[in-house]
This record gives sequence, structure tokens and C-alpha cells, in this order.
Amino acid sequence: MTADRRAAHGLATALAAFTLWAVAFTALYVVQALGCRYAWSPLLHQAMLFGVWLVPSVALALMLGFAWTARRGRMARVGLAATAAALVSTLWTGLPLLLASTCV
Amino acid sequence: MSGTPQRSEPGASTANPPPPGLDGALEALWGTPRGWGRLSAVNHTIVGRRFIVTAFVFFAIGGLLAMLIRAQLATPANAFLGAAVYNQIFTMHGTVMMFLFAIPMFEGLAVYLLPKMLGARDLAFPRLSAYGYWCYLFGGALVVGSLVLGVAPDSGWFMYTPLSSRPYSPGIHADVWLIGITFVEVSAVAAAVEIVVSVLKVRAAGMALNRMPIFAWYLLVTAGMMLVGFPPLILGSILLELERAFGWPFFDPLRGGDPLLWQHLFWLFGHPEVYIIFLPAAGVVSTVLPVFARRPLVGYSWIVVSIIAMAFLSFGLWVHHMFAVGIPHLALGFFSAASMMVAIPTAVQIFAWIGTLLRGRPVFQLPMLFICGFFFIFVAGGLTGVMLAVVPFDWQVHDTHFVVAHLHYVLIGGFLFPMMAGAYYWLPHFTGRMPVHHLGTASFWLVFVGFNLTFLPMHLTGLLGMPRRVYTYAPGLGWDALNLLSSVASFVMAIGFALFVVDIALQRRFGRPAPADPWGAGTLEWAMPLPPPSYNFASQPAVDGPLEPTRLATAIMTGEQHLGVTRNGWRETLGVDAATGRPDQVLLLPGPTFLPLWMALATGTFFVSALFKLYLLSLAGAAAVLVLAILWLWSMGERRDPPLVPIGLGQSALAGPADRRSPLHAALACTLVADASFFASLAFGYAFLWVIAPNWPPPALPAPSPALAAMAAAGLVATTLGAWRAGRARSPVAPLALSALGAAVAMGALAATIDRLPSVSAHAYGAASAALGAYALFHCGLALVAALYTIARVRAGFVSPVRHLALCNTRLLAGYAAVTGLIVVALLHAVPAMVAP
Ligand code: HEM
Ligand SMILES: [Cu+2]
Repeated sequence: MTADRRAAHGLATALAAFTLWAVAFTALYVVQALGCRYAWSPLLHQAMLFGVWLVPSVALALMLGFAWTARRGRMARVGLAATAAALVSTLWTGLPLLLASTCV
Repeated sequence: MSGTPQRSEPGASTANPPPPGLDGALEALWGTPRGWGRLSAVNHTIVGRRFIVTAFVFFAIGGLLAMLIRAQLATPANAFLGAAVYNQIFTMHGTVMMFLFAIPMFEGLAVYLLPKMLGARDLAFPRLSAYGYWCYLFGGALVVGSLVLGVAPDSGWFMYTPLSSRPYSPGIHADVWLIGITFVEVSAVAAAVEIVVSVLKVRAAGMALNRMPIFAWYLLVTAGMMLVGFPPLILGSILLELERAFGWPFFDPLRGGDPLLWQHLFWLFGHPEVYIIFLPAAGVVSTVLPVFARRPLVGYSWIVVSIIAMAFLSFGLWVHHMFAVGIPHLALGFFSAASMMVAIPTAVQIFAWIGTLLRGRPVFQLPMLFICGFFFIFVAGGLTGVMLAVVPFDWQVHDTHFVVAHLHYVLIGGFLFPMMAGAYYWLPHFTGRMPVHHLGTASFWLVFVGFNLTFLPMHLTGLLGMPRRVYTYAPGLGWDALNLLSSVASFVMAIGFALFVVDIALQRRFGRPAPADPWGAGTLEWAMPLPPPSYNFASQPAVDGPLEPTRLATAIMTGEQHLGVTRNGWRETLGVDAATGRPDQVLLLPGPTFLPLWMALATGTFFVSALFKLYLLSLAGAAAVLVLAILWLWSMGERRDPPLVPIGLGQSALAGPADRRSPLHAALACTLVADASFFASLAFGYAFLWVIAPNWPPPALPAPSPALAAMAAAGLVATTLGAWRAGRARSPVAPLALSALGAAVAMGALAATIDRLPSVSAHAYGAASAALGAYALFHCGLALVAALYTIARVRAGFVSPVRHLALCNTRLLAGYAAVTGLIVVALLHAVPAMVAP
């Protein structure tokens, strides 16, 4: 990849990574509300919540791997760091799943 | 620079005089006419200055209102202002400060500085920023004018329903807010599109993304946040106005609405708004502080990462303003977690600033004093913020003066102090003269001490239980002395601001002429004569290393760099590839025109008539906006293929190519991002009402109509397919006609769908569905107009195989209309069918 493409790529990576965080966040909020409103079985509800938490996290971890192999140039490193930040943010925002009960 | 004798005329302080003739020729091209012609100004220096001065006037008005508040609260049982007037005054104080001062001040700074820092001659769309300015001025005047007439908004700056709904707020108080602020937001969205596209496309040659001055990153990210953050507020305002004017019950729980929907939409905007205000101010700190630390900013890349992170995370916090409304703990947990997370990027920036100071050899000049004030106050505000984030503590002080104290520590510390640092830093740029030193220092100390003595006591009155937004209080509750202290100190602060104004006036009049690059800065706005000429740079620099204004200035002035020529009466500036900064075109910018002013007047007609319920006139205003917009777009482009022209330094580029590289394409994409945020908020509202609001499901649902659904879907698919084919076919006219026909069919089907809905005023189901339908209908209308417009452009010879911008844009718009339209069709037809017994 040329230096230019790498620069564009770094910004795109950063935006994509945090967009994934936003998707995970929204999905957590929506699934939580839907499950409580329509009284899903607790097992299903929990499974769905963990799903929308962990699937984007895994996707971000994969992205992190790719970003690591392409970490040349300042913008690429911006992309790498942003992906790492988005992964940590996703894991962190979902953490209350382990602590609070779903519908109280 | 230092060797040149300094003369007092503006522009005389630069190193080398420009080559004879070039200077004058450029000025003739880029100048603005005098007299009434000034109203046709589109030059970014002038428009930016207007934004800044107007914002400062609104700050003075907001400050005057604050003085009235403090005068009223100085003593218990004060009879100075009555309850009704007090309500208007604190609401207007908050509204003016947030919407008419803080955001426009940042926009003005961006409009004025951005092209200069990026080494360009103007922004991507000079007429758009002029239009934005007029919308801001007219909207602001409307809102403030209501105060004079005694009909100002009075339900608090966040306008909670049901207080702001018709039964509890009769009269037009609330309508002034909803309509006036929406009018002002038009200008904010316009500025956001302008800033994003300009940062990405309009820079000096060789200024790759990672070489941009850090301020450009801050502005880029802030503008991006505005694109996503403002539409929810605009939507909320429209829905509330529909409820107030026509009885559509979005927020009335008896009829399936929910007041919490307003809170969600407001804070979905409102929390990011806090960061939209803070980020540009932080950008000023990141720009000014390294200059006085005599060292480049430490951790450029880390700051870029942290502001991107902050921009996203700040959209995941809005519910922390609603901790007290009874949301399940798990959901609260997600929002608390994100709220804690967002502190990290702020900390990264603070560490970068401290690191820069430690590694440098700081010199304490006036701007640094204000930055120290910022550090002190902002950190204190952050600490009370942490206290408020502790939910039980929040329950204790919720809605007391503790919150008032906290928010002013953050807003005044985090915005006003950096902006005053910026003012003293860039004043030599505006006026061409240096500050008169001691007055600024005196002003700083008066504001700093006055501020702390005003707001520190409010923490205590708050803890002692004094509620906010009360017009008076009984004596003997232990609040008397503290309030008096607050009030007296607030007048000290006011004197400090007055001194600031006096200082600026004196500096303009008596300051000694500024030498070139007076602070030894590292950004290009200082590589030009002071005050700046209308065209900024006699030639645009080729950026190949660190930005050193004084090193580059000579080559720029002598016209040896890019575009140091005038030809064909073109106003030229380079357009670049977004990532690398390699020049990919010469942009041909428009000159002075009254079009923005007319367009803003038409927009104003639309809003003001809606306020006075003259809906026919309002529609006429909207029609005028459409006609003017078409004229505006029509005036761009050429009937011949773009020529390859030399751009200096042995390179050449296409002049005004009309294809995907054009900033117009990027602008449409940005506008659609804002539009998508609007649509997502609307869809969220619809879903929120179904899932959360009381009194659902609705008493009546429309009977299923697969035929209408199929017709709408077919029309939408035809619209986008036609627009798509138009880019490939030999003659685009026939596919475009198909696209137009599809849009017309879809419009018919959508109108029939809306017609079959249950009454819009009986239940929120009808209202929300009609709003969705109207959204899709409107966008099909846009796709129809776009297709017909493009047919006319093809006929008139504006389109060729290399000039296919109109086709690209039509395709994008039609695609957007089709995707959102199909979602609406699914929501209107499939959801009722699914839940019906
Ligand atoms: C110049 C000195 C200022 C003073 C003395 C001042 C004073 C006050 C006071 C006393 C209140 C509380 C009114 C009440 O709850 O009864 C208030 C509210 C408020 N102020 Fe300021 N203020 C100042 C500047 C600012 C600035 C610069 C901003 C924003 C950039 C701002 C934004 C607000 C907001 C948003 C509210 C809440 C209004 C509401 O409750 O609806 N203020 N101010
Ligand atoms: Cu907040």
C-alpha cells in the first residue's frame, strides 16, 4: 500500500472501529428494552445481550489484529490506537451485564 | 522579519512586498464591494468576523440577563422582577449563551481561521457560510426580540414537556424557542457541512491529514459531531411544535405520547453539545499553549485519537441527565460506564498539555494567563462533575444551585477562558496591532476573581438546598449572605468583561503595529500580511516540512508558490486529495452575491410565518427557498470540459472538474449524514413510543394494504435504479425520466398511505406514522426534483462523460430516498400487520 492510501485508511479504520462501538452500544440498549417490554425468557434475553456485546467485541479484536500488521505511518498508528480504544470501550460499556439484573 | 523596518500601514509589516501588480490584481478579484454591496460579502474573513462580532453581542445580551438574575437573587424576598419575568430571563440567559453565543463563536472562529491555517484562500462554499450567517442573525434577532415584546420562552433552556406543551405554556413563548432555535440550527448544520468539506478538500498542497495543524482536527471532529448531534434537537423541536400547533400528541401520555421522548431527543443532542462547545476551546489551548511553551505539541497522534474517541463516546452518555426518571438499572449501567470512559480522552489531552509545558521553556504572556485560568477552573468543574456522577449525590443536589455552579465552572472555565486566550492570541491577526498589555491583565484578574466569588458560594447555597430557577427565596434559610456575595462578585466579573471590550477598542486604535508572526507561531495564518488581505495568500504554499510561517512567508508573498497568478477573472484555490493533500483540482469560487441574503430571507419567511400560524405564507417561503436553491445550484458548473491549467511549481491540475472529486459531492454526502441522523432519531422515536410509552398498542390500526405497499416499494426501486442507470447509459435522459416517474409513483402511494392512517390527533400512533410518511414523501419529492433538474442540466449542456457530477449527486440522493423510503414503508405497512390480531 502506498503512503497516501495508508493515510486515508488510518482515518477510515478509526471511524469504522468506533462505529462498531456505537452499534454495540445501541444494540445493548435496544435489546435490553425490547426484552423487558415483551417479557422474553431470561435465558434468551441474557443470551441476546451477551451476543450483541461480544460479537462486536470479537469483530473489533480482529480489526485490531489487521491494524497491527499495517501499522506504518502516523495515520495508520492513529487507526491502530483508535481500534484498541474502541475495543476497550466496547468491553467496558458492556460490563454492567455481569453486575446488574436485566429489568429492575 | 525582524530586520525589516516597521511602518504603520496595514500589510506593511511583512517581509517582502509582493511582486508589483499581483497583489492589486488579487485584491481586485477577491475584494468585496463597499456600501450596500457589503451585504453581498461571501469572503470568509468578512463572514467569520461578522459571526464573531455578532456572537459577542449576544454574549453581552446574555451577560446582561445574568446581571438581572443576580440582581434579583441578591436579597431574599426581592420585588425587583416578578416570577413570570424571571422565568423568561433565566430561560433566555441559558438559551442565548448556548445557542447564540457559544456555538456561533466557534463557527466564526472556524470560518475566519480555517482557510488561513490550511493555507487556502477561502472555504469550499463561501456562499453557504454567508447564508449560515444570515440565518443565525435573523434567527437570533427573532429569539431576542421576543424578550423585548415580553413573549420570550420561559420553560428553561431544555424546554421539558409537559411544562412547554400547550396546556401549561399558552401563548407563543415556547413557539418562539422551538421555531427560532431551529432557524439558528439551520446555520449550525450549514457551518458543519462547510467545515468538514473544507478541512477534507481545501488545503495547501502537500498538507496530508497527519500534517494538518491540530486545530483543524478539532474543528473537523467538532463539525462531524454537529452533523450527527443537531438533527435530534431539530426533530424534537419540530415534533413539539406539531403537538403545540396541531395537537399531534407525541409527548402527551394520555394519547400514547411520552414526555420522556422529549428528554431523550433533547439530551441526545444536549450532551454531545457540551463537547461540541468544549472541543474547539480545547483546540485553542492545543494551538496556543505550544507556542508559548516554545515547543511543538507533545502527542499529536494521541490527541487525534482521543478527540475521535471523545466524539463517539459523547453520544453514549445522554441518559446521565435522566438518572432520576426511572430507567432500569442495567440500562443506566451502560450509560454510566460510557460516562466514565469519556473522562479518559480528556485526561489524555490534559497530560499532553502538561507534557508540552514541562518539556518546553514556557514564557508567560497574556494568552497564557487565560490558559492558566482555564486549567484551574475547568479542573474544579471536572471535580464537581465527578461528584454529580455519583447517583445518590446527584439525587441530593439535583436541580439546586450546586448544578448551576458546576455548569458554569465547566462552561466558563472550559469555553470562555480558552476563547479569551484565543482572542488575545489572534487579535493581532484581526487588527494588525499588538495588545495594550496591562489592561488585559487587569481584565483577567477581575474576571477570574469575580467568577470564583460568584460561583463558589453557589455550591454552598446548593448544598444548603437552594433550588435553581426560583425567582426569590425566604430570608433566614442561611442563603442570604452567600447570595449577596455572589451578586456583588458577578458585577466585578462584569467589569472585567467591560475592560476586555475597552482593551480591544484601545488596541485597534492605539496598539503598536504587529510584526509578522508576533508570537513565533507554527501555523500558516501567520504567514500573511496583518491584517490579512482578502485572498490570504498571494500564492499558496507547498507544504513539505514543519510549518514555519516566517520561512514560508517570503516565497508566498512573491507569488513563487502555487497559484500565484490571476487569469480569466477566476477566484482560484487548490483542491486536494483528502488523505495526502496532493492537489487534484483548482477550485473556482463564487464572488460576492446577494443570493445568500435572499435565501435567508426566504427561510426566515418560512419560520416566522409558521410562528404566527400563517401557514400559506410559510409554504410560499418554502417554495421560494426551493426556487432560490435551484438557481444557486444552477449557477455552478461549466458547459465545457474542465481545462488543465498550470498551478505553479511546474505542476498542473484541472480547473473546476465536475465529477466525484468536486466538494459538492462531499457536501451532499455530509448533508445526508445529518439527514440520516434525523431519520434515525425519528425511527427511534417511533420505536420508543411503541415499546415504552403508556397506552399502547393504539386503539385503531390501518387495515393492511399490500397493494399500496407494493406500489410505494416499486416506485422507490425505480427511482434509484433509474438514477443508477443514468450514470451508465449513453443518454441519461431516459433513465432519469424513469427515476422521476418512480419518485412520483412512490409519492402517490405514500400520500395514500398517510391518508389511510387513523386520526393524527387521537393517538401518537397516527402522529408518529404520519411523521414517518411525511419524511419519506418529502425525500421522494427531492428525488423527483433532482431527476428533473438533472434532465434540464443535461439538456443545457452541463453534463458530459467527464462532467457527470449532477448524475453522481442525483444517484446518491435517489439512493438515500429509496433506502429510507423502504424502511418507512416497512414500518407503516408491516408493523401494523404484524401486531394486528
Ligand atoms: C457571565 C457571567 C454569568 C453569570 C453571572 C451567570 C449566572 C447564572 C445564574 C445565576 C443562573 C441560574 C438561574 C436560576 O437557575 O435561577 C444561570 C443559569 C444558566 N447559565 Fe449562566 N451565568 C453566566 C454566564 C454563562 C455562560 C457563559 C453560559 C454558557 C456558555 C451560561 C449558561 C447558563 C445555562 C445553560 C443556565 C441554565 C438556564 C436554565 O436553568 O434554563 N451562563 N446563569
Ligand atoms: Cu451530559
